[in-house]
Amino acid sequence: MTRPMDGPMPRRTRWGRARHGGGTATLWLGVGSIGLALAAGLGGVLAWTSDPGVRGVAFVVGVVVTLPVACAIGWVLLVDRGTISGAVERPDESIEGVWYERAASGALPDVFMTAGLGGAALAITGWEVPAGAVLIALAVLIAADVAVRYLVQRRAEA
Amino acid sequence: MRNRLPDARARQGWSQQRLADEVGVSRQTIISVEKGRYDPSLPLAFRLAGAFGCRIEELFEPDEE
Repeated sequence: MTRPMDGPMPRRTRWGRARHGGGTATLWLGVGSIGLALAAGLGGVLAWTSDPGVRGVAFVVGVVVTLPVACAIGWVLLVDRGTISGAVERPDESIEGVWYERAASGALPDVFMTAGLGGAALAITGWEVPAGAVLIALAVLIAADVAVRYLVQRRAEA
Repeated sequence: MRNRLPDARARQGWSQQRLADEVGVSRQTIISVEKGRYDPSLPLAFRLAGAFGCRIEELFEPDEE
C-alpha cells in the first residue's frame, strides 16, 4: 500500500469534519462563527462608509450579501479536506491541477493584453471610468478566462 | 511515454477508480495517464509501480523516436 499513513481512514462526509476534531456540528458551529464575524465586519465597513441615515440598512445588507462567501471562507479554513468524500489525497499530482496551472498561466498574457489595450484606449479617448469598476471588470474577466481555459482542456482530454 | 497501466490494472482486476484511490489521485488522472495524454510525476509513477508491486520501467517506457 502506498498511502503515507497506515491505519483506518477517517470517516468521510459530504462537508467533511473540522481539522481540530469534533463532528459535523462542531465544524458548522465554527464556520457559522467565522462567517458571522467576517460578514459583520464587512457590514460594519459598508455602514461606516454610508450616509448616516441609512447606516442600519447598509449594515444589514452588507451582512446578508457577504455572509455566504464569509461562511465559505470559514469552511475552507476549518475543514480537514481528507474527510471530504471524493477528495483526492494528492490534488497537486492530479491532472486537474495541471489543467488549472495551464489555465492560469494561459490567462496571464490575456490579462496583459487586455489591460494594455484597455489602458491605451482610455488614454486615447480620454474616457473617465471609475477605478473600482475597472478593477471589478478585470477580476471578472480573469476568472472567466481561467474557467473557460480549464473547461476547454477538460473537454479536450476527457 | 508509453505505459502498460491498463494491462497491469486488468491483471489486478482493479477499476480506474480503485487505482486512483490507491495512489491518491483522481480517476481522470488515471484515464489521462492510460491514454498517454499525461506523463505522471516521478513520485506518482513510483506509487503506481508500487501499487502493482513492480518496477517503474516495467510500467512505463519512453516513446521510440
